[in-house]
Amino acid sequence: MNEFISLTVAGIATYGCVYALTAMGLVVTYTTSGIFNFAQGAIGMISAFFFYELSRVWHIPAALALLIAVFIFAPAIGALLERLVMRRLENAALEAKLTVTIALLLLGIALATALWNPQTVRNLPNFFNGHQVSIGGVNLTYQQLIVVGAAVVAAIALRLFFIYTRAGIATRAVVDDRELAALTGASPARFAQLGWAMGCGLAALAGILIAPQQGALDITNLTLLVVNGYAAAMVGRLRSLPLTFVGAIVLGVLYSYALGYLPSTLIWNDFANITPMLFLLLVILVLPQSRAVLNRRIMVRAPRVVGLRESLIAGVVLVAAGVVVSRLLSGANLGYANAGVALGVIMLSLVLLTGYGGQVSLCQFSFAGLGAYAMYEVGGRGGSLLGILAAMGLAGAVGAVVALPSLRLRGLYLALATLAFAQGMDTYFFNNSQYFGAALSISVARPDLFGFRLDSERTLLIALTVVFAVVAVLILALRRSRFGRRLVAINDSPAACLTVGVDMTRSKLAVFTLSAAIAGLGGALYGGVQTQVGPNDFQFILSLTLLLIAVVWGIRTTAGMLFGGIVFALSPLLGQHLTHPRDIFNLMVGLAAIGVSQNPEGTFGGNTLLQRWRDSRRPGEPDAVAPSVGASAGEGRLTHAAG
Amino acid sequence: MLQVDDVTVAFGGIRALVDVSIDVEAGRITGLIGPNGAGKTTLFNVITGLQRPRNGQVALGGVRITTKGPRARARMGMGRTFQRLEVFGSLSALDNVLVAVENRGGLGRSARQKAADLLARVDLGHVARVQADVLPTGQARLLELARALACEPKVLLLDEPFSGLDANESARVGDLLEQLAGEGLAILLVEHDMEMVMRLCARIHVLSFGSVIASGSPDQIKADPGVQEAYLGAVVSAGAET
Amino acid sequence: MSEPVQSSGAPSSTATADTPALQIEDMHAAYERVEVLRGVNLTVGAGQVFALLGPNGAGKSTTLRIVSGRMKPLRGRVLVDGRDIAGRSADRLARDGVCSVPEGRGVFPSLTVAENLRMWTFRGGLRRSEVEDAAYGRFPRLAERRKQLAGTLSGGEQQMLAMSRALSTKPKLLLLDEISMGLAPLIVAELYEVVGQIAREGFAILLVEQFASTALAVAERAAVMVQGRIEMEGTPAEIGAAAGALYLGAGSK
Repeated sequence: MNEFISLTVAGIATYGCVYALTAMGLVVTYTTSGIFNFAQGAIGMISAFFFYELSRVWHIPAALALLIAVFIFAPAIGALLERLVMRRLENAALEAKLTVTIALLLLGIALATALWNPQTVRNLPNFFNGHQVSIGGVNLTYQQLIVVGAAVVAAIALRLFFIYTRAGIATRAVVDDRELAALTGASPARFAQLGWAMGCGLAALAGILIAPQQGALDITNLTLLVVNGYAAAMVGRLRSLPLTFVGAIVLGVLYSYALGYLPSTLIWNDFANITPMLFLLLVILVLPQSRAVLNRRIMVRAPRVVGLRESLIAGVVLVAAGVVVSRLLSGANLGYANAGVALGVIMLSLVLLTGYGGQVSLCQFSFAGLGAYAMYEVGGRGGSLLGILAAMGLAGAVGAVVALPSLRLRGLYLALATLAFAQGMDTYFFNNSQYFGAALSISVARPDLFGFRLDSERTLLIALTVVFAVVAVLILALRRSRFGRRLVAINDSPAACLTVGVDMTRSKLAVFTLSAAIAGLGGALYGGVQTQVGPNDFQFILSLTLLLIAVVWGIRTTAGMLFGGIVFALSPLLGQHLTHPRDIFNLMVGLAAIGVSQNPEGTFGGNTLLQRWRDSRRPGEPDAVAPSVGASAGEGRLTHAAG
Repeated sequence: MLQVDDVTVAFGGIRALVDVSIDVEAGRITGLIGPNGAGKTTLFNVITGLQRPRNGQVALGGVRITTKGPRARARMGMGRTFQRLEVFGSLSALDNVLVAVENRGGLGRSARQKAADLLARVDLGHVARVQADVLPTGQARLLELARALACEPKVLLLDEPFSGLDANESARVGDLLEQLAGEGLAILLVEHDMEMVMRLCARIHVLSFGSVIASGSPDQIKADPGVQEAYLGAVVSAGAET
Repeated sequence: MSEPVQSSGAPSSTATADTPALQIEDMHAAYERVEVLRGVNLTVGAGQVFALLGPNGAGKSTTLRIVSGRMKPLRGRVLVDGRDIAGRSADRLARDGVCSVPEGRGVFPSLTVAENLRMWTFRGGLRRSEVEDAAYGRFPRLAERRKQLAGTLSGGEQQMLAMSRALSTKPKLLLLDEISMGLAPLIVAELYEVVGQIAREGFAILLVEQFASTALAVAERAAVMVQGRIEMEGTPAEIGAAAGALYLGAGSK
C-alpha cells in the first residue's frame, strides 16, 4: 500500500505535472497558430541549460534565474520564432509545417551542443537541496512540491487568463475566427505571437523542473522527455487545457506504476519505457476524427509529371554517372556515396507516401531497420535476392499493420501515431538483444545482384545507382498510373473522392504498405553498405531528419531524393574536420529547413529558379490560360495576402 | 428517379432543413432555387450522403439509400459538382476526369480517350494538360461537370454550375444540360441565374429557411407571391425611418 | 436624412462634414486569376446609408473585403474619411473605426455573449460598460443570455449580437454584408430598425443586400452591381423599380 501511494505521488509529482506543463504549452501554441511544435522539448532543454548557466555559473539566485528563464528568455524565443518563421507558414502544407518545427528541434540540439560541450558534466541540484517533508505519511521532496505547485498555478493562471482577461478572450477569439478577430480590431498575428511566447515559457518551466531529476543535464534526454507530453496534449485533442492536464496526470501515474510494478527483466523494463508512446497511440486511435474536410485551394504549382521516356533517359544518365563517379572516387568517399544512394532509396519511399499521397510518416527508418534485419536473417543464409524480398516483405507487412488502425487518421494525428510507433520500435526492437545480439549490432550481407558479387565498393555504387534509378522510374511510372492519380486525388479533395466513389481506404493502405516496402529495400541496401548496423542507425529521430531533408529537397520529386540521400550520408564526412559532426550537420539542415518556410515546395519543386527555367522552356502551358487579367505570378497569391 | 421525402437536418439545434420533399425526374432538369442560406447545399449533401439527415428518406430509382455512404451512392449513379470548387488541384484537367473514369472500371487508352471526349464535351479539350488549380473558376466548374459525367450518373446534381462563367460559356453549358436531359439523365440544378433556371427547368422547387415554399413550373413560380417575397424581402416597416 | 454628421462618437476625425465617408476610385480586384472587380467607382457621403445590390457573384462582398482591409485591390484607391487605406491592415482599420459585419458570421461561436461584447472593445477608446449598456439596452434578449455561448444562440440572436458591435462601437463607416441572410422576416425587420437607429446617429453605412426591398427601404442612395461594375446608381425608388427584373430574370415582371 505504501509503495502504491509513493508510486502515485511520484507519478503525479515527478512526471505528470511536468508533462502537464509542456502539454499545456503545446496546446496553447497549436490553438493560436495551428502549428504543432515538435521543438517544444528543445526549447525546454535549452532553457534548462540557460537556467544552469544563470544559477550555477553566474550565481544568480535560483528563484530569480527561474523567473528570467521562464518569463523573459523562453517567451522571447517563442515570440521571435513566431515572427520570423511561423507566420509565413499559415497556408503551407502539413509536411512543411511539421518539417519546420522538426528543424527547430534539431537546430536546438545543435546549438546546445555547440554552446555546452556534452563532455562536461553539469548537475542541477534539486531546489532546496532535496529537503523533504512528510505529509500524511508520504515523503515529498520540496522539489516535488514545487513541481506540483508550478503545474497547478500554471493551469489556474492559464484558465484565469483565458476567461477573464481581454487578451485571453482575444486569443480564443482568434482561434475561433481569425478573420473576424481582425475585423473587431484584434490583431491575429499578435495573439499568435503571444501564444508562442506562452507555449515556450511553459516548455521552459517544464524543462527546468524536470532537469534536476534526470541526473546530469543531457541534451538529447531533456529534449525527448517532453515528447511524452504529446500524448497528454492529444487527450485534450490539442484544444482543451483541463483535459490535457488530466491526461498528463493519468499518463504520469501510469508511467510510474509501469516502472514500479512491472518485473525488472529487460523486456518488461522496456515496456515501461514505452508506456507513454503506447498511451499516445491509444489516445490517437480512440479519438474521434473530424469528418472529411472540404478542399482548401492551396494554389501550389505541382511539379510536372515526368513522362516515361524522360524518366528512362534520366535513369540511364544516372547510372552512367554512377559508373563515372565510381571511377573517380576512392576509399572512404566511395563509402559515403554508397550510403548516400542507399539513403536516397529510403527517401524515395516518402515521395510516394508524403509527396503524392500527402500522408506524413515519421517512422520510415523503423521500416528501413526492419529491412536491414530481414536481410541479416534471410540474406545471409538464403541468398541476397531472397533477402531483399524478405526485407521488402517484412517492412511492407509491418507497414500494413501500422497503417490499418491509422487509416482513419489524418495529417498530424497520423504523423504522431507513426512517431509513437517509431519510438516503440527503438526501445522494443532495435535495442533488444534478442534480435540484435548482445552487442546490439548485426552484420548485413551485401547483395549479389544478378550474379555480380558486390564486394568492391565500386561495383556496389553502380549497383545501388541502378536500384535507385529503377525504383525512381517505377515511382514516376506509378505517379502516371491509375493508382498515382487516385493518390493525388485523395490528397487534393477527399470530399470529391467520396462523391466520385473512390475507395480511399484501399488506396491509403496500399500506398503505406508500398512505401514501407521501399523503405525496407533501402534499409537492406543501407545495411549492406555499412555491413554492421545497430540501433543507432535506425533511431526514430533519424526518421524526422529524413522527412526534413526530403522536404528541403522537394518531397514531390525523385531527383531531390538522390541529392537528399547524399547530403544525409555526407554528414559523417564533415566529422573529419569539425568537432561535432552530427550537430553541425543538424545545424545546416535546420537552417535549410527554416528556409522551407520561404519555399515550402523544396529545392526541386515549386517556384524555384529551376522551375522557372523549366517553365521558360515550355511556352504555351499553364500561363497561356490566364484570363483577361494581366496577373503576374505574384498576384496569384492575393487570397493569402488578404487578412 | 431521385426522391427526397420529409428530410430534416439540424446543426446544433438550428434546423437547416425542415421536412423537405422533392422529386427529380429522369429526362428533365429540375431547379432548386432560394435565397442564400436557404439550405440548398445542405440538401445536396444529404442527397449525396455527405450529411446524415435527422429524419426522412432519400431514394434513388425507387431504392432507399438513406443509410448508404457517399461511395455506394456514387456507384449507384449519382454525380455532383460543388459550389465551392473541389477539383483535384494538383492533377491535370484530363487526369481529374480520368480518376472518375478509371473508378468506373475504365483502363488504359480507352479510358484516356473517354476522359478526353468528356473534356471536349464541356469545351475543355484545349486545357486538358493544365493543372486544375490554375484554371479560372469557370473552367474549373466545367471540369467538375465533366468529372461528374465520368461517373456515368443517372442523377446529376449541379451546385451553381453557371457562376463564374461568361455569357458564351453559360449558353453552351445550358445547351449541354438540355442535351444531357434529353439523353435521359435526371438533373437537379441549384442556380442563382434565374434566367437560366427559368429557361432550362421543367419544374422548380423553391427553398426558403430550410423549407420548400413552392414547387411548380417556371411560370407558376414566377407568379407565386410567396416566392417574390422570399427573394425580395418583405417591405419592412423600418422604411418609415428614412 | 441629410443632417450633417457631427457624431459625438467619431473620435479625432479630421474630416469635415463634407468629406465623404467612403470613396472608391477605379477599383480592380481578382481572385487567383479571375477578375471580379473591373473598375468600381462609388462614393458614400458622410452619414449616408448606401445600399449596394446585385446578383450573386457580382463583386459586392469583394468590395466590402477590400474596404475592410481583408484583401488588396489590384488597382484603384480607397479613401475612408478622406484618407487612403492602402497598407493598413484589417485590425488597424477596425481599431480606427471601420466596422465590418461579415456575411453569416459576425460573432465568435465559442465565446459567450459577454465575451463577444468584450471583443468589441478593441475598437479604440471604448469601455466595457459602454459596450454592454449599448448592446443589452437595445437587445434585452442578449442580456438574458450573456453567459451562453454565441454558437448556441438562434440565428436571429447571433445577428443581433453581431449588430451590437455596429451599435456600440460608433463606427466612422459601417459595412454590413447580407445581415438578413437566412433570417425570418420579423427578425430582419428588427435588425433593420437598428440599422435605421445607427443611421440616425449619423454614421455612414454601406449595406450589401440580396433582399432588395428591405435594403432600399432604409437607404438614401443605392447602386446595382453586375459583373464587377456598378451598372446603375440612383435613388432607392429608381433602383427599386428595376430590382424585380434583376432578381427573377428579365421576363418576370
